[in-house]
Amino acid sequence: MVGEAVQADRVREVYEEQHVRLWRAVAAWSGSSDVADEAVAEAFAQLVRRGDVVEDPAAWAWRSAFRIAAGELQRRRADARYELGEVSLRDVQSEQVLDLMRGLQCLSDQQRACVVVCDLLGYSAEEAGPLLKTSAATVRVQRMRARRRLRSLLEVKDV
Amino acid sequence: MSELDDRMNEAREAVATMDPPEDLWARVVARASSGDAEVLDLPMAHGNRRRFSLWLTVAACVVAVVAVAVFATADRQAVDTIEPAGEPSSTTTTAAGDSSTTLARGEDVKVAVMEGGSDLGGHTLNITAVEQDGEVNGELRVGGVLVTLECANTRMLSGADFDRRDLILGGEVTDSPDGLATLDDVNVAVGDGLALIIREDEDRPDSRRVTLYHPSLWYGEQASVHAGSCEELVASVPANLDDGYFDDLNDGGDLETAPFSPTLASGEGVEIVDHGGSGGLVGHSLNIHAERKRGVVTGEIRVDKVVVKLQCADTDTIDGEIRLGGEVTQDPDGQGLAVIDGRAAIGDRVALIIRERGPDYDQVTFYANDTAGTCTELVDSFPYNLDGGYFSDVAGGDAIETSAALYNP
Repeated sequence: MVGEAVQADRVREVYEEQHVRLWRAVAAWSGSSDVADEAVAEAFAQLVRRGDVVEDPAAWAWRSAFRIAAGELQRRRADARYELGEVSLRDVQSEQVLDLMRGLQCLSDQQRACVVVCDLLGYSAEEAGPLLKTSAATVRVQRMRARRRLRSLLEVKDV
Repeated sequence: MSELDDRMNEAREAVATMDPPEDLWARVVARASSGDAEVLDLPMAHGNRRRFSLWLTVAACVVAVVAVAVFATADRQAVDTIEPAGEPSSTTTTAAGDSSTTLARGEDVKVAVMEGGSDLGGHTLNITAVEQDGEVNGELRVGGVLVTLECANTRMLSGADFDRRDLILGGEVTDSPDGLATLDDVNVAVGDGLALIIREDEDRPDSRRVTLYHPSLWYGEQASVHAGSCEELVASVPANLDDGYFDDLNDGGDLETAPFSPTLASGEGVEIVDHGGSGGLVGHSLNIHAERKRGVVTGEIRVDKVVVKLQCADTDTIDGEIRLGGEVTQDPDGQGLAVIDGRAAIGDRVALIIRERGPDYDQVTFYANDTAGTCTELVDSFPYNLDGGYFSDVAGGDAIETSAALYNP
């Protein structure tokens, strides 16, 4: 029990540092505040259960939260509780923003993650790579292709 | 600033106002302490894949640093990657008796135009790539751009219902009549390195896909670091490229390519000449035969009399390693098998890690992890970017042939 408490304290530090940005990223990525609640809570709970074998808990939490969110989205779609492209975000009212979020849902999982983490959360490709378990190069390419697809979907033009 | 950037900025500001529920940590604690809670299998998210606490401690050891220094001066011999074509598909014999192998050949192959696809869509490819006596020659023409091919490599990926190969043909732009040409969002000019990647599923030749690769697209300002030579260019192609990077060929394209080979790694009498953390391997010899078909790995590794029956493999690692996992099934002398920080006995799971850091810099080590429940978990749990001091060097000419691109600069 003492070990669990120590581990929870250790995870708590990571949680305090990461959870807001991570939750925002997963919410934008999944288009759902509820999915973000579920995924982020489960990711950190898994981190507590795993003890100290996870040496980079922040990166682990990020990757796991996205993975859990992907599973949760699949389950919801299978249960017909959720449709592809559906966006349900608390606190977001702007129709322009919601349109963009719907557009994001039409991208591949990895493209969407790259856009969310870099364009909406402000991480560089070098910072995003380890969080998404990929290389900075892949982040750059995925972002580029995602943005091209978004331009087409949203019918916006470069100036 | 583009309209998309404006909308992104607006979205960024909106996202910055979104906040998680205040009781989120309470939910974490409740889940973590729930009696029926289980540790989920999250294969893409093994924290110990990157590092392992024990390793960190040991990695700090001066001995490891010294070992690396010793490696740097040791007499090394290469682990040769298998030739781009495992078996010849179209072999011609010259008067001198030399044979040539067609890696890829196709005329007026049309790249399909796809929504969301790259700028390569709609272009016509003309390809001739032949390997003879270990040298690759040929040409690739994409629109008005001519690439003189000089090298090639292959990467294999195998799943339960597919065997996939990426054939990477690299060369230098030698003609671009329109000056700077834009291919797949990359500006190329005469003198630039450029590679074509042809992705194929063994059973679905009509599903061939292609993409162009230029290091600047991937590595930005560091591109020159990754592509000094043709070999470096093709080796710098990131592992396990997502399908989304590729464009379809119309009807798979009328393209002739070399057939697939199921061999992951093979070698006889591979001698271990130097040592690091797994110094027990020094002086021993390896015999390796590993195949993968439809995702099923078969074969064995012999270290003198110790036999490891193979069960799984990972050839798409970030480190550019091949990891062969299995179980020790024979050890007639009861000596065990030297693994990092210990010895493995009959019934233990072990993984052979083959790492190629350059044409003349190749290493192997055996790894075990008691906490890994399956063979896949074992190979997945191998620490990311583990110090070379834990590896031993391979000697013996053309010792190990592997099917994956190992050279990862």
